[in-house]
Amino acid sequence: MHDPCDVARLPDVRTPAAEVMTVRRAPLLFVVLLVLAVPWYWPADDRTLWFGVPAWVCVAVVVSAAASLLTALLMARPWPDEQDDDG
Amino acid sequence: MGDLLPLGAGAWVFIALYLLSLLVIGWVARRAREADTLQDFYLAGNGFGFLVLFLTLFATQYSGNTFFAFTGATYRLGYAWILSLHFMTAVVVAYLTFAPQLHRLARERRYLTPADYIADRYGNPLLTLLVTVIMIVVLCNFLLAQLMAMGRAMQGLAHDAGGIAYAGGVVVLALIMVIYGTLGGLRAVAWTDAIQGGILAVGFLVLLVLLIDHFGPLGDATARILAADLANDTRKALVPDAARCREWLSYILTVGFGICLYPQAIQRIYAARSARALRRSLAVMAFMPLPTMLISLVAGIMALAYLPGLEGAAADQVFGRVLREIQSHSTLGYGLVVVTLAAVLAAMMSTADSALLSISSMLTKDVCAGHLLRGASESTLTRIGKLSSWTLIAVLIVVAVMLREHASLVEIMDRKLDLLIQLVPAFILGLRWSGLRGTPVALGLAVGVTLALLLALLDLPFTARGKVYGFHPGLVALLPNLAIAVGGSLCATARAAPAGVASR
Repeated sequence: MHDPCDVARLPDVRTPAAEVMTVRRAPLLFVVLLVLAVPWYWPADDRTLWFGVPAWVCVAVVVSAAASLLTALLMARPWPDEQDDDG
Repeated sequence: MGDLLPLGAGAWVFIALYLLSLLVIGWVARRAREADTLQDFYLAGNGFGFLVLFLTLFATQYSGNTFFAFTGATYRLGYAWILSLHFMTAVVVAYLTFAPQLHRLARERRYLTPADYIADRYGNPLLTLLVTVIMIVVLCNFLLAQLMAMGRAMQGLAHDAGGIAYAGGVVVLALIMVIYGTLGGLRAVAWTDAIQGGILAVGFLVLLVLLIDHFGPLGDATARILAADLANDTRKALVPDAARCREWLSYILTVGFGICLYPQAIQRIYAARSARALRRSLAVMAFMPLPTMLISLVAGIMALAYLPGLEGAAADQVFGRVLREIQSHSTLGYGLVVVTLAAVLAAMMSTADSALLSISSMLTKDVCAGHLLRGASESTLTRIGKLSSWTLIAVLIVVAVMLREHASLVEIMDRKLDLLIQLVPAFILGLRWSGLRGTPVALGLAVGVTLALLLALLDLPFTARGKVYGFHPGLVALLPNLAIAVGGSLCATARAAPAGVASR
């Protein structure tokens, strides 16, 4: 099923090797945060309150804040093509 | 909003002035245009800096749903709706997977619509057509739902049980939207988004102050809900059960990857002045779910604790009940509710105007310029684009008025995220793997869309409330979609390699 239209038509948009090494850990961290975000590991009848809110909700908020922070840190790094931008 | 106390003349003047300001912005944006081209009209000449880009992303991502549906969902599910915080964060995380590469390509190759990237990347007309049709269908349905929400909002504000206020609301708000949209294109839409995003942010803050002032500390509300959980054997403050956790995971993935592939979201990536402006906007966007989702969660929790007993549609509209409580509390409360109401209208209009402009761009560039009017000048195409906006909004106004009593029908048709997530292989995987080929992607997309719709709409033994064991049908259908796209590309590469060797 050869498709003559299917060729690598676009310029290479991969990031340089050093950048890849740094950014490579990010997906793993996001997966860890995803696992922690869903409260499957809490005891079903837990009634602990922190700051007037169920403890599992507080953990969900902290995990979400961590995901936001990680995203912002990744966005703070210049992208490879950015040197010519005027921002 | 039918639960609200009647609004006074001052409140109506405030809302009218806000609407008038949108028209003025449209006129100013028209004067600011740099060229009579599609690129200038639909992407504001690729000139958005950090602040405008951030505010337009914010106003577009957070719609009237944030106030109404999310407060209603919290009322029905309790604290488990904290999952909304995760899925709105997931949207920005999902941008990380493709925005840098797509922005770079868009600048180099002057993309206007999402289909421009697909055509350029794969050179496969069938895939380009499929992507265009899916995006237009999704956005038309989305726009229709927003128009109907505007009508219902005006109906509630005017305390009109009949259809006059509803129809009037749909017509007036849609006309204002299409006027400033056709005057200034994306520049007008983004500038009004900036105003609307500002009002939205103020509205959220005002709401938090009102809620705490009127209902008291959150701890008291939690204690009431926990007591109700014990008495009624519910889990509105307790840890969600396994089924809810599966649904939670499904929401994070489906909403995260679905919303970031909205055509208007992709076009904002194109419209960024620079990579720096884009990543700074997205960095701030990463934190926006925290205040917005937490405030709508607090509103729902307060309603659950202090206004219990609402069922069905009344539960979905509980936000109106919360506002009425605050409105009747004091003169200050009344004034602040008016600001919040303006924010609700702003949220609806800013989401709808972006969808309208995006559909118009696809009809003009992908359908007219690509097939019907090849060789037409940019100014002719821009005029056609404006005409298509007016035609489309006229048709949708009629449909919205006709379907006033059939909101559930629109909800049934609304499978936008299940459809949009099927575009993940074409956009995200295609940007990261040069071996991905057009024909398998098109085949996978067709299978994914068909399966997602069948799972969503048919009453099958293993589906419940439109989900498969708690997972969205779109997410389930994405698996065969991805398998076909990747497997087909690998097979095609393997077959092509020996042929290439033989030819040498």
